[in-house]
Amino acid sequence: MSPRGRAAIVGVAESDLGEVGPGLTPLDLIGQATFRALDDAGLEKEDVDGLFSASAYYHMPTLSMGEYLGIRPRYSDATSMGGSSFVSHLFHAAVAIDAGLCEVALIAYGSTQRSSGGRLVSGSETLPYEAPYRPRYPVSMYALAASRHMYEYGTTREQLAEVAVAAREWAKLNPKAFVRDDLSVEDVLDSRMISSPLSVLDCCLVTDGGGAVLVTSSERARDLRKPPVYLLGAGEAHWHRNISQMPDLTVSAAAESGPQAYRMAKLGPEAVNVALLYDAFTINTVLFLEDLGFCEKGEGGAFVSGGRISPGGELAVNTNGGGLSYNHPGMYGLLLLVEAARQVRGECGERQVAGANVALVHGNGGVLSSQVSAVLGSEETL
Amino acid sequence: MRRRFFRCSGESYRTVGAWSFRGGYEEGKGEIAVASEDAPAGAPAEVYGRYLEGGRLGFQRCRDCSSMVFYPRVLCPVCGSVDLEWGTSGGRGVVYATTAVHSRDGEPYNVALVDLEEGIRMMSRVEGIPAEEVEVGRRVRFEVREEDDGPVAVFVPMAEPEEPEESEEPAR
Repeated sequence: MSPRGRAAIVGVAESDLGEVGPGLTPLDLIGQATFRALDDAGLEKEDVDGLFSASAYYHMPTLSMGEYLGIRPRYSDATSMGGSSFVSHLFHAAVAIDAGLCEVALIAYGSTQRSSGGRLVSGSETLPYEAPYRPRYPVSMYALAASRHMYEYGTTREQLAEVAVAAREWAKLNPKAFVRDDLSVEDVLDSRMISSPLSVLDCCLVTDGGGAVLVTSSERARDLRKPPVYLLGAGEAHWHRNISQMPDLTVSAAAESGPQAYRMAKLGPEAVNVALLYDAFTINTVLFLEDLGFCEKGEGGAFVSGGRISPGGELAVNTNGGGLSYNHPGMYGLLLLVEAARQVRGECGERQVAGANVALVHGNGGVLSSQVSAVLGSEETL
Repeated sequence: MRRRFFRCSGESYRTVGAWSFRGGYEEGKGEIAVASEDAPAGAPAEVYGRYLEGGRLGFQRCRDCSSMVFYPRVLCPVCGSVDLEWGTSGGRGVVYATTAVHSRDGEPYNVALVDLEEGIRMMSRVEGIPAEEVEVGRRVRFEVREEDDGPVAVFVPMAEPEEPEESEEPAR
């Protein structure tokens, strides 16, 4: 049976975000977020019987989490595909719940990368054939993709900068966003070059943070505190790990995961009210808008320009301010789910998208490697 | 497991999971390394490294489906065959994607993906021109640089228009 509408997000929360200061550990942030998500859902810790996590800090993250929280799960999944892992966990949790393997799933994440050094904490290994060239992981890999997109489709640095500016405009509406000051295309172009054509303002933030998401069956979800946010469809795909092995640097596996998710959800991109796309770098948003069917391949640069993905634009994209301006604690996928659920519930205040019944969440992991799409919907989309 | 026979230079060699390619190439004689029964075992990465030590860029070709394979492996990622043979590249390629990596200290350096004429793509760097001036579509030629950790494959720009044909021929 299709998983469509058979499980729902019932609780979401962020941990403390931004810069939490020395002393707190990633597990402390997981603890904060879990406590808050349980309160959001009206569930008790004792209700949780499935644990899902991925981490650059803990080699066996669901074990560490279970021990810290005092949860003995009967189902545990530490699928690790980079930042997209948590969207994958949502999919896996829904299927596990539908199969009766667990009833209440907790997906959680925490990172203190900003307070503990200010650089991405990553367990990524380098391919021996590529180590001598010293690409800066992961920005250089995304820069390579950007260079190819610019070559094939005439995409410009100005258009990439528009992505960062739109994210900032949304962030100004989100009190929890890490940076909220004015940003112009010129500011992005003039900022320090990291790995051309990507400058520092084409890159996501390095922040602390974490979050938790609770998932249960649709039946049980209806008895809980908040309106259920149903998983309507999901798809996951990966075609490579290393950027040299990506068949075409202008086409990500989102071109496979997106259609899978749409098919399961029985809807297409035209039905999406809000799109949460994993924007580790500005080129990501351009690629994913194309691969997920919001515009034709090669037209992403034009699509993001002129405020079309900013507040009041044609498509609401990354309404929390994204990894570029809200928070990006090493892996960002879990925070995509938090914002999507809040948009569907109508809890987003100034940045709330009117009538946001359908949210598309798209997670990216590795170097444009793993792509996981999920369509979330309100009661009326069932 | 699946067992196959290599058919190199008229010899047959049964593989049972370990690699037995000789890590070298025949100077001036074809481009395909020869597998032989008395050859020292060589893991894919070791064979690649020995080619580089000899100033050549080694890569694999699947004898079953003719796919070019890089980076080196023990099976073909296209068809799954373990019947791979080594060849060396003629060294001519085109920049597929490029970036100049900046740091707070030192000049920017180039990182590129290069498409070789034989149909493989590899990460490398283009030297000889400023990192920011390396452009997608630029024709480049393979060279070897000795570095602290051993020889490294790099590329330098080819003169445009193309120079008269030199001795190097693309493999296969």
